[in-house]
Amino acid sequence: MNNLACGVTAAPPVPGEATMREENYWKRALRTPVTRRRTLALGLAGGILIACGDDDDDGKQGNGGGDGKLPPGFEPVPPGISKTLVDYRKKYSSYRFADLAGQADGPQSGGTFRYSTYPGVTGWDVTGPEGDTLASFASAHFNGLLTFRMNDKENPDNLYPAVGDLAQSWEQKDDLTVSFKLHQGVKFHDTAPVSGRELTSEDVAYCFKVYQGTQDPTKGIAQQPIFSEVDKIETPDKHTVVVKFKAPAAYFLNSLMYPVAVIFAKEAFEKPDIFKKTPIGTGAFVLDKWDPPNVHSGKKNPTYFRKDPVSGKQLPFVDAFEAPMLLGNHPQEVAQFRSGNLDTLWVQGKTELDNVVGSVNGALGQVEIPPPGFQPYMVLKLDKPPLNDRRVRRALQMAIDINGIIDSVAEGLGAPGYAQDYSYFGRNWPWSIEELDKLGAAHKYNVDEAKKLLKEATGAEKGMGRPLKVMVSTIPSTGTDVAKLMIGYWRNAGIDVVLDEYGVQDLTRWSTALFAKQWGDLDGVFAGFAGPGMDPDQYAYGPLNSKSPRNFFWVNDPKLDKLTVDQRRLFKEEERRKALEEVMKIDLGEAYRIWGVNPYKLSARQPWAFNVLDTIHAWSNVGWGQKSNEVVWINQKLKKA
Amino acid sequence: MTGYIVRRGIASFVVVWVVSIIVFLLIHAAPGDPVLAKLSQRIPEAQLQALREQIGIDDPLPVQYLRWLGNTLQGDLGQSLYRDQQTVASRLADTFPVTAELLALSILFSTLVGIPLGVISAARQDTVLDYVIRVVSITGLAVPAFWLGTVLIVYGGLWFGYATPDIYVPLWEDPVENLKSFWMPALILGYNLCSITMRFTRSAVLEVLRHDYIRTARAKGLRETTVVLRHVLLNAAIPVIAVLGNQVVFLLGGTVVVEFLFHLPGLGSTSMEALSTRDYNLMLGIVMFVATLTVTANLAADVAAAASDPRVRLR
Repeated sequence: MNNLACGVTAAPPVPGEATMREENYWKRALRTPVTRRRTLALGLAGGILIACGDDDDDGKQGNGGGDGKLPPGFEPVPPGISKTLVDYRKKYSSYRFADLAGQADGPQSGGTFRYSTYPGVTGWDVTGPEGDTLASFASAHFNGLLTFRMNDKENPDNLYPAVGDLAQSWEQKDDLTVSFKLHQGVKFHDTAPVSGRELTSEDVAYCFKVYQGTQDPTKGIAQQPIFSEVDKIETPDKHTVVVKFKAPAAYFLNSLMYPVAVIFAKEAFEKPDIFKKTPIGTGAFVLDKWDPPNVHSGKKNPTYFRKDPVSGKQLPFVDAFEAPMLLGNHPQEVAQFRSGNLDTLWVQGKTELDNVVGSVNGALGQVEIPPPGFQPYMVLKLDKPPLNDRRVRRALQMAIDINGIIDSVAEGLGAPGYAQDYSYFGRNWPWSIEELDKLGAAHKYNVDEAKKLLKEATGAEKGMGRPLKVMVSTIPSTGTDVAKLMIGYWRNAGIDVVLDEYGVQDLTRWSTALFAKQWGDLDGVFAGFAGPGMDPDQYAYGPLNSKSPRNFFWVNDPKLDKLTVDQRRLFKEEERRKALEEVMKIDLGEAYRIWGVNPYKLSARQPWAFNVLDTIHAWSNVGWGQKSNEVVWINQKLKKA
Repeated sequence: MTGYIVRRGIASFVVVWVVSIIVFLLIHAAPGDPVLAKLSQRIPEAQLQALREQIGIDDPLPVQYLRWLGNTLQGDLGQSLYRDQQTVASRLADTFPVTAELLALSILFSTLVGIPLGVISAARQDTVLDYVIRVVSITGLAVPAFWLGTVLIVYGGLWFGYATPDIYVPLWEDPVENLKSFWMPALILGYNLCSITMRFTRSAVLEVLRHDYIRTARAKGLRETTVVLRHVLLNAAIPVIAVLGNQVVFLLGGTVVVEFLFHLPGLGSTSMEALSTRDYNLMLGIVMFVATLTVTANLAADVAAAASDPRVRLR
């Protein structure tokens, strides 16, 4: 709205007096004492101006990329999925990215792909304690034997089965043997001491042995669970690797997609100073700068072996990627995206998605299914009364209104949380409340039942009879909001919740509680991840088997011990799914962990950047999806425009 | 004079040593394990123990302290525990120039703007201009740097599609790109100091303006500009400079937030990382570096004062 339309008009100038007036006005004004009347008049004028301000949202609307029709693969929508979510998935699903303006021009070579990343990587030793953290960084520089599909014209949600990376082909010869045929002529980066030599099957065997951790248990920390069943690794020729297992390992092939099951060179590994500082792999990008907390960047590997499976063109398409480490500094990230410095942005919430897409000309939004490995939930100290009573745990789950959290914190763009890979079950939507409740009978919001169970278990008139002490983050995020709302629901059910809060400066206190099991007098700790997981095993055996090193959940259940091992042995998918469902039934029925809401992944990207993927496991290029940097391409014509 | 310098030198050394003990104990008293800061998963206890032994944090605290002190006295500040391929010394060398540049630009801004505004405000006392300048300066004292920084970042992007560069480039590599990164944070950090400078300058100028020699200068028929610049400003500058000097240490504290907001890899943001990851070596290195710098600056100031005034060294 125009300010003048509010009725504020200027007095007409008197001819001949204007110049003299202007010359003297400021001198007089600056020397004039301020009186109360003048101050009030100034305030009034300011008020009028503010009242006349433009509050319309008349920014140019971005291209949502959708026409409102249901994309392929969207039926049926399970009951309980919010209308907002269905609408936004129709509008912002990556299915819509197949026929965008500028897509037909490519893929083009050249340009630099820019995105924000985080400074969390502590070094490049994939075999060290930081191995898991490197899952978001290593795949730009290294290759594994297998990887996930990276073409946004295909169904991006269901990632199974794996596709070849260094492996040209592979064969499950029997339950105990798998054989890989490697691509020929693959070369390591031309960096000393490896200096661009050819990769052979000996390199693969060497890495797998390190990952087993048999020679040095402090090596292969992130990979040991994948290789724990490996018995022998043979290399019959330069390009063939045969892996033999002690017991059937149905999880093995999918798990090889894990972005730190990568192949490095022996001579680099044997020089720890170099190995920690420089990632020398066969990957699409050679390290250019790694300067935390400033930037991580890479330049195109001129000898890269992979070709785009769709266009047949040489990968990578871009000349370089550049990732300023801005994650955690969200205002700065958004400003950089708005100024065109970043090609993609991880958006926090529906309102921000609408704002960002609406304020940046041509920007595209994307709403993708959240990975089961990252979501807010609470870990319980299961051996501590009264939490060792399943009735108390089930009451804690029942007291939470999952739909209430989806509608409020997630603004409709969330799903009931549970850490098992729904894509393995051949579906594109996460679990619904009805499905989870059918399995465990504890997911429907029922405060009265929760109070009844608590009274039965503890005999207390109100709550648990004693406070529930939980550790929770104060770091602003959707996860924190979900946790705080869960706490609110417990208080609503009469439970006295005592908070042990930690901030950014105190993150290590949280990791010490969880990973070293130093809980003190805590009853629960909120966690934000449940993976890593490229195979359902990592959500079944990993957290729920009492012998698993990944079990920091205090779960010690003989039935689960047996079932989680059984499912690892089953190669037939139907049988394995049934076994996994049994695991879920027990886990959910016992309420070993308290689940909240898994917010959908929201991101925005510039109209000139293509193949910027976000998939169920990959968490876009910021996360494990960094592997897909190699298929990203920039439409230079659109960028210049 | 030599005896004075020796006495002050020993006292300064003792201060730094006591600071090192306090900081060492405080850092180790904070709950958390630096090995676990690197993990995003639980690992078997035997592996954790082996990793702790590798970096030597399993020894008793006195042993760890004496080892650290011994190495430090030999010029070795050790390895960063979190980013173990980097030394503490190399991280200090990388980050200190960033903070020093930010501080220098902030001080430059606050001096170039604060002193003239203070003089104008005093010379035009109780006029609209005076009130405007005072409101601006009080706002600078009241508005926290993190808020102002966030507002400028958010609305700079939203309204103007502008953001400062997101990657730091050293001054000697590309001065223009470097200054593009620094102008906004220096302005924000300097705004608070500028307000203090402006208010002290205004008070000092007002006080000097009331002196007889100023009346005499005006009575002689000197122009107002000459009176202010030659007779008032020079006399008023002495307390202002003293205040500016004291404020630099406080300004250093402000760099933590501003460096984070504007993605500048300086001492402030690095100390935040060291704290959150329980990187004992790096935290000790940063605190001891700043403490030594402060103590040395104070020592130099004391020695300079003693050299110019014999009464000081006789006290």
